[in-house]
Amino acid sequence: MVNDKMSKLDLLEEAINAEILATTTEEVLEEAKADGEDTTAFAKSMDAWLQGAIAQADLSRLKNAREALQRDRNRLQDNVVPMRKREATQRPGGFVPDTMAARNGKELSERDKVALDEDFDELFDDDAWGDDQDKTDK
Amino acid sequence: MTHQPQTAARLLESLSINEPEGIDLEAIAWLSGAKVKYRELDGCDACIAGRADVGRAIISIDNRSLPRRQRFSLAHEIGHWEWHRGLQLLCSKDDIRGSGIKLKGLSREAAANRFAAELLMPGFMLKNAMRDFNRLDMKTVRDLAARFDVSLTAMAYRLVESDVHPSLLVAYGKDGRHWFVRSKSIAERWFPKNRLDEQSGAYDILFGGGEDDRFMSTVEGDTWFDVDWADQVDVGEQSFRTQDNEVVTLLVAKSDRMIAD
Repeated sequence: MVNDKMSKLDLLEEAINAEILATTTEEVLEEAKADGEDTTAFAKSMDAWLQGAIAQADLSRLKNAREALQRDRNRLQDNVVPMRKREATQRPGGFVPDTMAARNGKELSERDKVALDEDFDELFDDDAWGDDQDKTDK
Repeated sequence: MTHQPQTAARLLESLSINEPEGIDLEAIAWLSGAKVKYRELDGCDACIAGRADVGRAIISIDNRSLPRRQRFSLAHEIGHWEWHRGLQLLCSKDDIRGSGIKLKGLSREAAANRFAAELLMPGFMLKNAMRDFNRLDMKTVRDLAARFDVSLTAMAYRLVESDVHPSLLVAYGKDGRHWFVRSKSIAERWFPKNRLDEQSGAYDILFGGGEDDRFMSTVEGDTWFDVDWADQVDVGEQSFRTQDNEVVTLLVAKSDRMIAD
């Protein structure tokens, strides 16, 4: 019985949704005008609201990124023993990154090479890359 | 998902960044999968090592550089990650592990510099900011450089290149002219001399240990240019010393005769 009632409600909801979706933009505008609505002003206010919401979401993304990178730095500082020395590296032998560039580059020093070597390891260390980095670009 | 490179302007727009103070380079790098590390680097100002297959990169910045230079270097490396992902801008493996780093294509370096300038000093923000200033001189450059957190040279270069006022920016060392940039509106015949004229304020700064010019002075054009009738036009001149033992001079056209047809 209950299921039947729910089912009828579902059907009604479905029918309403279908009618809304089937309504053309022109019909909606006509209906709104008939009700005395200023559709241009309404569209503008909705547009401003949408832009504001997008800006707010982007601001949150940047804020979250800032917090995540700070956590990552703290994690590195907290590692008394560097991770690469605790675990065998996942990096294949002879690996060279597919992307490399240097600004105003000249001869690398020994400590430059050591630092690069650590970076190469980190590029293969899944634990060093949190889930909070944006995946949409990968 | 395949990476689609974006211009600096599009990148800022995609993050709704509309003010210079909102340009958080480290956060922008992080969102594109790049970590930033500050360390002492002996072989370069900055470098990037990345894996395009998984979208991870590590950008290293020499922490002994001046802060604004570090910032420009970071923007430059973000430019490489955005546009040159999957490219090794080094000669060979030997250059990484061996003797040195040689860049394959200088044009990619120039592209990364351009990206950095547009990321740090976006045209639309610069245009808005310029509304507060009615002339181009080093005070304007200094105020804008502080607001955008970039070096004087970077800001002056961007303003000249953007043609906010017909002008040139010229850099000299004791060995002569190192580089220059000219607004599009200045005719090409106005090519700065190879060596500094002793009458210029820049000469005194470079060779006499003089202080940076506090104000823009007006001089005859033949102080700076070999054009036959250069003495008939006036130019504004204001110079400052840089960290690289260079003197950089902002030259502002005071005559329409310098304007391109």
